[in-house]
Amino acid sequence: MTKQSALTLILPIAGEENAAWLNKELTDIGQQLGKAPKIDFSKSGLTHFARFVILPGADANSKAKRLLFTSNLDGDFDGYARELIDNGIAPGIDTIFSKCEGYQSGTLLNEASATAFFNSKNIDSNAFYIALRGATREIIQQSADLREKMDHQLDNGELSNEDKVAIDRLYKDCENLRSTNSCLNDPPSATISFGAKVLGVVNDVWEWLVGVRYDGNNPEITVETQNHLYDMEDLVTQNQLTAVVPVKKNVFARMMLRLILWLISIQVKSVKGTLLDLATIHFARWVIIDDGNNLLFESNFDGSWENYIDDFVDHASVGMNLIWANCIGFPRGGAKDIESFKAYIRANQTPAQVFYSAYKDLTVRNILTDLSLSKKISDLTRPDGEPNFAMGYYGA
Amino acid sequence: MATEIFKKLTPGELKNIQGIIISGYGHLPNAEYQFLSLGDGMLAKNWLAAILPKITTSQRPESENGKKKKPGCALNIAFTYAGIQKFGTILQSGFSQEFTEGITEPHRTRRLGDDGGSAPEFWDIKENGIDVLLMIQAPNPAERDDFSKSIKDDYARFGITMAATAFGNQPENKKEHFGFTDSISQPFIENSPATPKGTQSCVRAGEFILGYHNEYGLLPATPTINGADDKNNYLPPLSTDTRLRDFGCNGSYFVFRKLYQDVAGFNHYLDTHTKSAEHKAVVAAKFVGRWPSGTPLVVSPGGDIAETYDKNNFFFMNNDAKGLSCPIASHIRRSNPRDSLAGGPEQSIKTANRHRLLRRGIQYGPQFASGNTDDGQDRGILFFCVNADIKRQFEFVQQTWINNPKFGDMYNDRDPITGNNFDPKSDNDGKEYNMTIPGCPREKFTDIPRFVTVKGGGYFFLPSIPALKYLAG
Repeated sequence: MTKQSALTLILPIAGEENAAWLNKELTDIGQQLGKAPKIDFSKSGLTHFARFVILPGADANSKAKRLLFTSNLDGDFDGYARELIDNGIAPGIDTIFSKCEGYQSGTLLNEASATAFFNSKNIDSNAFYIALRGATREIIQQSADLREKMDHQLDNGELSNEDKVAIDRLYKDCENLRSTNSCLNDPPSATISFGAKVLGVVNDVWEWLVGVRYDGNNPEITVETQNHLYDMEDLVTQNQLTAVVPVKKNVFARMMLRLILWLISIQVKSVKGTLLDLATIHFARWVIIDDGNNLLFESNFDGSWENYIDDFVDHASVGMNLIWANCIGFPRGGAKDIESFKAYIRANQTPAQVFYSAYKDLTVRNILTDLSLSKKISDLTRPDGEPNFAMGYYGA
Repeated sequence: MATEIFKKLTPGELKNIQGIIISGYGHLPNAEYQFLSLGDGMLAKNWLAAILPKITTSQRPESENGKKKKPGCALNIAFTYAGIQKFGTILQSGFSQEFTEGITEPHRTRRLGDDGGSAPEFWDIKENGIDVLLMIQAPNPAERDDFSKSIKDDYARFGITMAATAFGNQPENKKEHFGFTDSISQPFIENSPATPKGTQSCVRAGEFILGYHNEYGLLPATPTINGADDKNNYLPPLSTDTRLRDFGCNGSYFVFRKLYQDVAGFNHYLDTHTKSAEHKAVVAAKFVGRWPSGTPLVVSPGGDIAETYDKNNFFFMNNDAKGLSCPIASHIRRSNPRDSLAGGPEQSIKTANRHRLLRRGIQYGPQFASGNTDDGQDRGILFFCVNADIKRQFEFVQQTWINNPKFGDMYNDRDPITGNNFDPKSDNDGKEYNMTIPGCPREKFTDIPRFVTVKGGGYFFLPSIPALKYLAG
C-alpha cells in the first residue's frame, strides 16, 4: 500500500521587497490554477493538495514574513522530488523558494539535492489525518473515471441490469482496479477504537485542569469581517484552512500539547474513513513550529467553512478542546462556545495565495462511493444479488 | 460540568415580542410590504414613536368569552443596519456580521448562489437605500389599503420616502405558483402560544428569538448598549453582564427575498422531458418531494391523497433511505433533511434542528393560466423568514443544502425547484445541472434551468417592543 506523506516547509522570506513580490506572484499563480499557471501541480500524479501561504512572523519580536509550502502527496520525499523534476514543476517552485533565506537557487532542480532539501527542511507533523489511507491520487482518478463511464453508459441506455455482457465487462474493469490496489479490498469503515475512549478520559481531566468550563457562553461578541479570507473561499468543492496560533508559555501546556497530538496521531491511524465521524476532511495536519511557540493547523475540507467548524464542534469538540486549550486565546467555554471558537479560528487564519486541489470536484464521500463501486458491482454479479444496480451505486 | 438552566420563552414576554415572530397570520391573506427610506434622525424617532402603538405584539388580548382574539390587521416593523444607524444608537457589542454587511457582498452572493440573472444588480428591490420594512397584513384588500393609507399619510411630514412596495396575496388553497401546497413544515418554538398544524419539530426559542438558549444550549450573540445610555430603562440587563443592556433580547433577524417563479419555463421543461401527462405529474412531484395536495411521497409513493390529515408526520430513513419514493435531490429532502443526514438519524435530527427557518412568506403576482408560453407577468413568492442567526440558518440552508451539488453524497444535483441551476447568463463552464430520480432504471434529468430567480432581497432586524421604544427615545 502506498502511504501518503505530509510535506511542511517554512522558509524565511528575504526582505520586505521579496515578500511583496512573492505575494503578487503567488496570487497570480493561484488565480491561474486550472488554466496555465507558472507552477502547474496538475502535471503531478502524486500531489493531492498543495498550498503556498505567506505567514506573518513567528511572534511580536520577529516580524519578518515566512513562506509556508505544504503538500499532501503519495509516497515519500525521494519519489516526490524526482516527480516534480520529471514533470517540469520543480523550476517554478525553485523560483519562488529563491526569494527565501538559506535557499540555494537550483537546489530543487537536481534530484539528489532536492531530496536532501525536503528531508532536512521538512517539519514533521505531530498529527497527520488522512481520510482515505492508501488511496493514491491515481486510484482516486481511476475510480472516478470508471464511475463516469458507468454513468455515461446508464444515461445512454447502453447498460441495464439485464445486460450481463456489459456488466461482466465493467466487473472485469473493477476487478483489475481492485487487484492492483490493496486498499480497495479493505473498505474504509468508521470504528471508534480504544484510543477514543482514552482520549475521552484524558479530556475530562484535562478540561478541568486548564479551566475549560461550560458555564454558559458570552452572547456579547462582535465578529469581525475578514474579506481577505472570504475572497478565497467557496471557489471549488474543497476549502482551505491555515491557522497559526501561539502556544501557552508554560512547560506543562507544551508537554500536554505534544502528548495529545501524539495520542491523536495514533487515533487517526486506527480510524478509517472518518475523523471521528467527520467525513468532510481530505487531509489535515497539526505541526508544532517555531521551537514550540506556535501550532500550525492545516485542513483541506469539503463544503463551506461554517459547515466545517459546525461539524467539528458537533462531532469532535473533545479533540478540539484537548488541542487548543494549550494555546493562547482559546475561548473559556471551549469549542462548544461556537461563536467564540469561530472568532478564534478566524482571527488566527491566513489565506493561502495558492490552494491546489487535484480533484476539485470530488468530496471525500464522492471518493468513498467511487471506491466502493467495485464491491457493489461484484455483489450484483452473484445469482442472489439484488437488481438494484442503478440506484445502488448512486450515492447510496 | 455545571448543570445548565436554559432560558425559555415565558407568557410574560409575549407583549415584548413582535407578532410576526410567533404568528404567520394565516387569517390575514392580503399583505403590503413598504420599503422605506428614513429622513433626518429626529424625524425618524418621532415617526417611530407615533407608529409604535400600532405595532402588533405576540400577546393576544382576551375577548369576552375568554378566548384569545386574533388581530384584525397586523403591523410589524424591521430595520436594515443602515436604518438602525439613523437612530444614532451606540452599541457595545454589535449586530451579526451578515446583518451589518448586508445581503449583496460579493462573497455572500457566491454563498447564496445569487449569480447570473439573480445577481443583485438586476434586482427590483435593492437593499441599498432601504432603512425600514413595514409589513401590513389584513383580512381583505380593502382593509389593507385603508390601513396602509392611514400610515402613508404621515410620510411627508416625517421626511419618509418609499423606496419600493410589494403586495402579497395568500390563496385559500395555499398552493404556490408551480401548483404545490406550501408552508407545511414549520418549526415550532418551544413554549410558543401558537397552535402547530400537524406534527412539527419543537425547537428551542433561541433559534428564533434573541435572549433565549438555542439548540446548542447557548445564548445567541446579541447587540448591547451601555446601561447609562438607556435613560428610561426600557431594555433588560444582559444576563451575563448587568452593566450592559440587551438591545437584541426578544428581537430577531429577518430575511427577505423576492423570488420570481418561471411557471411557463417549469411547464415547458417538464413537457419536453416527460413521456405523458401522468409521467409529468409524477416527475413534478419527485422534484418537490410532495404531491400537489402536500401529501409527502414518503407516505404515499403511488399517488396523491388529498385528504391526508397530518402532511408533516414522516421521516425519511425508516422506509425510504435510498430515496426510491422521495428522491435525495428533491426540494423537501434538502430544505429539511429531518433524519437523513450523515451520522445516523438521531444526530441528523439534532443537526437539522440547528438549521431551521421560520417561514413568513407569501405569494405575489397573478395566477398563471396554463401552458408553457410566458405571459410576461411578474409572479412568485415574497420569501420572508425569521432566524436568530442568519449565517447558521438561512445562509447555511441555502449554501449547504439547497445549492450544494454534493448534498447527500450526490455529484451534480442541486435543488430542482429553487436551486441555482443552469442560467445562460452565468453558467457556460460546462458544469452539470442534474436531477436524479433513483429507481430501477433511474431517471436522470439534465440541464435543469433555473426555475426560480432572485429579484430582490435584504437582511433586516425585528426589534423587540422595548427596543423600538428605546430607538424612538
